[in-house]
Amino acid sequence: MSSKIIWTLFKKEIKDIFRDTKTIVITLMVPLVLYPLVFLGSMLLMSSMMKESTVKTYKVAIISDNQETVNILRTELKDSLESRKYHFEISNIEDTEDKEKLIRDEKYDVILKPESEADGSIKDITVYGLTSINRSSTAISMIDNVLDDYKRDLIDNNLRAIIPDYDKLKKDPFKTNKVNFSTKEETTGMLIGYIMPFMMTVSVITGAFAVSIDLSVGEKERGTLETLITLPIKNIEFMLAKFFAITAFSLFSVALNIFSYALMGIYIYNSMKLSNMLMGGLKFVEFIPSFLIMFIVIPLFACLVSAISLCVDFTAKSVKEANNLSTVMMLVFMMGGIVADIPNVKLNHWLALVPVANVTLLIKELFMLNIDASLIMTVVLSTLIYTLVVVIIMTKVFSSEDVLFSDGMRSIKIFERRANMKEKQIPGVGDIVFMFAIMFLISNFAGSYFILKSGVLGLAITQGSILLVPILYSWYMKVDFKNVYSIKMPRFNEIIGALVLMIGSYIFNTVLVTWLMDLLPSLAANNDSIEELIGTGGFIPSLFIIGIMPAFAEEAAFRGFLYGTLKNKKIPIAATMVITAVVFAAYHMNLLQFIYVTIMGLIMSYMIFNSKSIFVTCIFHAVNNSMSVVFSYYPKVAEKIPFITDDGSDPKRELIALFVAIGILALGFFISDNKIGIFRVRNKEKTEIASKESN
Amino acid sequence: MIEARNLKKSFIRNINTTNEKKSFLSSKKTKEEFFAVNDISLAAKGGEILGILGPNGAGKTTLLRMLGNLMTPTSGEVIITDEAGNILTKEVDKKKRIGYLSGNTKLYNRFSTREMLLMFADIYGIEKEESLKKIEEIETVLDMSTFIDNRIEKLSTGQTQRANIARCLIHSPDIYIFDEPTLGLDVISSDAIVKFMKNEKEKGKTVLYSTHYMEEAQYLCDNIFMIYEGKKLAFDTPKNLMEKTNTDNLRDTFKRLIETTDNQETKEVIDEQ
Repeated sequence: MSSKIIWTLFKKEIKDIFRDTKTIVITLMVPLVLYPLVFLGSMLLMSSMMKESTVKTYKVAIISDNQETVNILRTELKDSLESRKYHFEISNIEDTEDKEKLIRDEKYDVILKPESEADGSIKDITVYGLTSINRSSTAISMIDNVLDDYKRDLIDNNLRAIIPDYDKLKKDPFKTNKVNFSTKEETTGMLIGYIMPFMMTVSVITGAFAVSIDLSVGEKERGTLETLITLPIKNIEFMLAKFFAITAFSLFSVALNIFSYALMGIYIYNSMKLSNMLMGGLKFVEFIPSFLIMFIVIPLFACLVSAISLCVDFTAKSVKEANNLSTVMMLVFMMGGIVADIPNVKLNHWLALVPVANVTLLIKELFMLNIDASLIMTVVLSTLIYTLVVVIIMTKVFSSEDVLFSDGMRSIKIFERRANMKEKQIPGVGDIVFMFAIMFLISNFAGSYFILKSGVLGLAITQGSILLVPILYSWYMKVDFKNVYSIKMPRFNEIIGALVLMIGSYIFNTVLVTWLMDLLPSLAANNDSIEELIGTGGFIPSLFIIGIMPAFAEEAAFRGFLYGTLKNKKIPIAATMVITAVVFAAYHMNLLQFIYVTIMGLIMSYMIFNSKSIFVTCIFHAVNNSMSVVFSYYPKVAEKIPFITDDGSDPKRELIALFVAIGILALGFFISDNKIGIFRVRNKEKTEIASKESN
Repeated sequence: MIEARNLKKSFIRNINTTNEKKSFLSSKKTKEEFFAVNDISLAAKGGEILGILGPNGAGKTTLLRMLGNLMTPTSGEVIITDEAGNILTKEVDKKKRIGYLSGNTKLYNRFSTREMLLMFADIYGIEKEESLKKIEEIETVLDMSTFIDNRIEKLSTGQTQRANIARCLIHSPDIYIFDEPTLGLDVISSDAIVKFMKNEKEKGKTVLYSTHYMEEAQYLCDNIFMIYEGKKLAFDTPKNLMEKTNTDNLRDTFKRLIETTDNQETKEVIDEQ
């Protein structure tokens, strides 16, 4: 690898990007022209609206025969100019006129129709207006204020007549003094902390995406890639030069955005009173460490995004396909970016490991002046490691030759007319991401809506849709169902083994959960949402909806779509098994469940690997879930079975339970395993099975 | 010297197995491995022009890509030697001795020819002074002074082709691999390229080139390699080839050879049945 060649290629890429007028114009226009325009526009709109409400004169019409009443109203409205700066132009009209038409034609903004007592004081009053018209609606609220003032005056006068010391009594009984300990830096920091992360993520991502397609498949489509590989360049040099160029460009985009926001900031500082409130005497020095750390983290983050987008774009066959992939990638990255704006989400050591989300959260914390060295290190190191891994994958997996002469990796296959789909194909890795994104959206947004509206039935609808998403996705792209979904009759020993393994894992998890709750009591806090639902539906529906349906839906998605796709890729089967288990656990969105579901997931991965039949894991999953339902309806049943419940009072009993669980798990393993178990497939059968499979 | 030993390259392609009309819900396709280049050996020395002839889809481009080290063969090897006759092992060293040109090697539109040549010289590791001298030399040889500083997107087809050849010359290679260099060019431009190849041959360089223009090949080439359906059809001097087939021009030789192979194949199929 020669740094000189990389440098030459880098210069070439940069020159090429900057001579591409279209990309540059868009990249420059958005932060330098569009943002300020939108910003200025909204500022102008706001100030003009404020002006309008203070200076404008509103036309009020009064309908009344009683001259006394009219006079009272006139005086009150006139006085309002002094106290509240409202301008009214008052006229009298007849009741016979069409009030609605008058207001619609903007002859009057509001019409008042008071009913008078004999002495001319107001009894009731009707206010006619149109809230859909801006002027009329403001006029109505002003009239409201005026009338409220008048009412209060009347009450005061009445009370004053009866109670001699009224004015003394009416005085405020006590005064409230407020002391705000937030410094101006903190208040400002909180504001920046909400804007900055999103702005940073967006500008890094848009910058990288804008050029990554052009430098990868774009170069292939324009035909210059073949010219480039006639040169004596090593693959690693070729990839690294592109990677550095994309990173540099995304940082350029960040710089432009910072510049643009800084300009707007200065404008606010100079023009608005708000700035005095926030920034008067602001010590900018306090933010210097935050900015310095941000300037280390952002380039790293740009590296990660560039490497990922380059990798993904190289899998595409054409620019069009790369654009589709980018949309999906954008969605995934944005989800990470939005995390920072969810209230109460704070950076902790778990979140510091989640790519994208960790960077946005860190920036937010930095500007709130919560600087924790260990968290910063975790974010920096994890981002660095992810970047290195992706760069290594990029340089090892993608060779320029493959990119140029192959059909692309076609990692997302769904964007194709169904007629053009190959029969019995295997989904790509991009399809997994896309399918899970859809499933996640449905189960999270639609799901929580349905559950709120109709409880247990809503849960059923959600589960049904979770089941349908992978199946429909697969149907559309003509997936090889038998292969991907591991559809095969299970052997008898595998079913028995699944049940034994299930009992083992249930006891194991009972002990594990007790220990984890002792260790980290905070985990227990939000673990009861599903259990509340169990109580509402009745035993049989709950058994069906919580016990059995999710088992099939989740199996179709995880042991079906996810495991089935990955097992066909060039990934070691052990990695496939672990990935499936971890994704399955992460899907539960709960740290406590994450730990024990990972273990369950590993057991299920083993079962499907061993039996090659999804029905085995379905049985495991269904029985496991059903047991929870049974035990919550009939707690007495659970008490009668040894080791199945645990009140956490007897550590010795727990230890025994753990050993029993491991023993049962081992037994289940020996029953179900087809290679070394008790019921192992004999050689003759094995060849039969093998020949059947190859057919 | 450049030599190919038992080169093979296979691709996976989708073929339609039925001729039925495609419906919305189904189209029947199956995968098949096929050899674009199947067991080809050839060699060319310095001071020689080797013409590669064959109909469209015969595997010429794939063969030339493998010879140019752009594509890794499925099996077999490409041997390239340096001036002293030592066999080069590193791909980078091999590429430094080859100038490769084809219809697919497009140029960077947003660069001028001079910028591009400077950049390529940089990658080949040529010193700055030397490369400036070399560019001046190329400029006169290929008569590019009028457009060398214009952006490539502004050039005409003939000018672009000359810029493309200039790119192959910058590192003074001793093997030229040209894939249909005269395709789509007018008489004057293509004559210039033919003249260029002859000159280089006289300087002792090796030229491998593929073409569809039989007259051009007959007049220019020292040896002809004919490829058909990925396999070798003939490898000999033009004169010998014409004698063997009793024809007086290469066009007829080519047709005759293809006819006989097709006939043989049908005969073999009939025999088998």
